[in-house]
Amino acid sequence: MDKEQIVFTIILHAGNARSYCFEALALAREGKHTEASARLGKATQELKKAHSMQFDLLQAEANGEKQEMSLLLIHAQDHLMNASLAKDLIKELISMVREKQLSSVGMNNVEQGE
Amino acid sequence: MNILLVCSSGMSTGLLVDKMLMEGEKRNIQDLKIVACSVDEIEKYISNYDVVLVAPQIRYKEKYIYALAMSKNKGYAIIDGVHYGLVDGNKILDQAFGIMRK
Repeated sequence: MDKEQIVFTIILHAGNARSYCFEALALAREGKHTEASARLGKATQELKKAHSMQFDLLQAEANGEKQEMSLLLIHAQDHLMNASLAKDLIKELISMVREKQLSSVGMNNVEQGE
Repeated sequence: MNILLVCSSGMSTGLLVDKMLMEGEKRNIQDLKIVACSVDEIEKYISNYDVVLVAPQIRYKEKYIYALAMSKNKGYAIIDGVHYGLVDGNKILDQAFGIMRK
């Protein structure tokens, strides 16, 4: 894989992760929490792939292999950070959605284990 | 044929435009116009193009783009993830011709 392909692949996996996260949130809002958590699992896998490619680049640089900086590479980082943040935030949002759904059917106490 | 590539900022697909145009030149295709735009600008551009190709990383906006493309009777597809990752202008050009509406 050349540098350009690495950058595109990072963007691809990061973008996939972000897509899965938003799908998970939409599913959670419909009350489909099993499917939502499956989507989050897929998002995690995609993020892992993107991170591992980024890690390889960092590793190569640490080993003295100078990386050529391009706007496109920075852009790939943008995608990766966005996806990372989307995942963490959407996880929280899904918990909030779930709490709200449970409390609206009067099961809040059960969920909290009381 | 006019092809519109859509991604989140029009940046990564901007690079793809060059690859696809090079490929078009190799195949000696006349009147090939390819432009990349961000998903926020798509409504401004879409009327002038025959085919809309969406970068896989903005699949989560698919519903919106799909509805827009259908309402304007444009060819529509999400770029194959593998071809996108490899920046394969050749395969993506094939995909564009495959979804062209007669």
